[in-house]
Amino acid sequence: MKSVKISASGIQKVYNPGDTNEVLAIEDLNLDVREGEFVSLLGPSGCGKSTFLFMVGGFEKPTAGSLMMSGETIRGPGADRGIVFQEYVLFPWQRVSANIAYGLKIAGVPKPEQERRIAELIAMIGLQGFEEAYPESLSGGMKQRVAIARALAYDPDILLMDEPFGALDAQTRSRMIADLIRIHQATHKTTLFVTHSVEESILLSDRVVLFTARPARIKEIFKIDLPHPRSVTDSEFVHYEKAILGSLDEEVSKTIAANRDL
Amino acid sequence: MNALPSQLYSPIMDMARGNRWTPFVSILCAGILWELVILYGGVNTLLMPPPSAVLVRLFEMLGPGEGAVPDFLMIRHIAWTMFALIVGFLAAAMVSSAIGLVMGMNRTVYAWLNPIISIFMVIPNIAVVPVLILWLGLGMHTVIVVVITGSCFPIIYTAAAGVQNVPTRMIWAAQTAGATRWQILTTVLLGATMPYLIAGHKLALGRAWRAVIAGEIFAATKYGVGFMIYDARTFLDTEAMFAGLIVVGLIGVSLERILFGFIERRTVEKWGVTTSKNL
Repeated sequence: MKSVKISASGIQKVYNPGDTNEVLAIEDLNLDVREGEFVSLLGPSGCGKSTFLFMVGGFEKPTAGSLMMSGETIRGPGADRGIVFQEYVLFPWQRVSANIAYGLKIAGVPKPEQERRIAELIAMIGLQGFEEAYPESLSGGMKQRVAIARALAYDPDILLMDEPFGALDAQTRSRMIADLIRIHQATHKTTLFVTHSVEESILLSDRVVLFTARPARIKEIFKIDLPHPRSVTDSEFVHYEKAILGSLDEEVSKTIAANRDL
Repeated sequence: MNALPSQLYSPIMDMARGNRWTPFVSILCAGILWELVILYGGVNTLLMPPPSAVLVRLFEMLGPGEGAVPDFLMIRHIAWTMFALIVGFLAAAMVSSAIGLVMGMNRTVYAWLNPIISIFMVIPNIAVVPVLILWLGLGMHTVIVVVITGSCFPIIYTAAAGVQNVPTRMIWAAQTAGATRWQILTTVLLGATMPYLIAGHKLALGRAWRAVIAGEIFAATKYGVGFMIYDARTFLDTEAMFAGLIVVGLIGVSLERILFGFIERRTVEKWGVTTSKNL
């Protein structure tokens, strides 16, 4: 059994504490993610799964509980993590190669080593010939590949992904999923993957963590025991899908009901 | 859409609808109209000279002098004006960008500086010239200070707005890659703020040009296009005054269009992030 990489216990998040518009976003979250594991965070909109991801990223602080990474409390962002956002957030003034090399430049990696690493990552994401392009000229899928390469370039321990394929069309998305599986098998990065898509989560993950409607707790954890490559038409896949969808639907209904009361 | 029938298409029609030649033809027409009004309109040419005479005067002033007129008089005036403009604008650009970036990054600095700057900003620059002359006397140095006070505010405000509009997640991406505060400033904020900085500097250069001409009218003592226009009034040399106005207009347009067009094509337009198109 691999060691625990991320350990969350008793995590609570309150927005505007003491204020009239105080919101309890996360009530009590307990989760251990092992090294090399691919874990999806799934739940209804606004349930706090991205908030939890950003806590691991070091951008948000829990109001209670302990959040540890490699046995140490997370105190802020750092280069031991890589992050990928739904909106890509590339640096538009830099070419593809410079975007990918960003973290290497920050770390002061020598130029030849940077070049070698860029070539390696460009090959991994299949963007040969686009090294000198500006992000503006790339499609959404290509931009997201560059963002993934940028996050992997400095070899972080953990990859954090916030609905990375949410803005892509269906065809691009299924190719990106296949590529991400391949990348994960090659790099074995511990990955936290926030998504709205049940299908995406089953295709990619070792475990799917289902959040309740707000205030968030973990409702259920599904261990996906299927070999890669997984197929959405596979009977076992459909079985997982039904189970997760059923459980998710209850939470979505609660969210809708709660919003109706407002 | 269907193509226009070929008999309707002609270079003249195309120009009339507006293409790259239209501005030149438009200005030419205005010049001809001006000439005709003076020829047939019974205008006192001592007060309002025809453009032909103004152009002749302009070329005389650009060339070697005759009699009492010094050699290349207009070139000297332009050179002094450009020198004051460049020194003043560069000083304003450096100081104001720094102030603006700090205001954008620090909420407290913004809250304290913003009210003071807001007041200074609505004072017409020409109104501070008398005070500056009292403090600094007449001369090029005063004109340079007038350029600075005239051009610093657009840069400060756009730089601050630029920093405030950098997407939080762009900074997160840099922090996750291990960037320190200083590295975030140099590697992310400057790049992300560039469209705003360019827009602000473009606006500021336009203001600086107006300021240098206005400043010269009151504070210059020997050379400068603004000084020349005012000085020519004393001799009722309206042709020289109009020649000066044409120079002011042409250089002003060139600075904004050509210089910043060049900078924008090489930066923000290439990155696909231009915001300054409408300024």
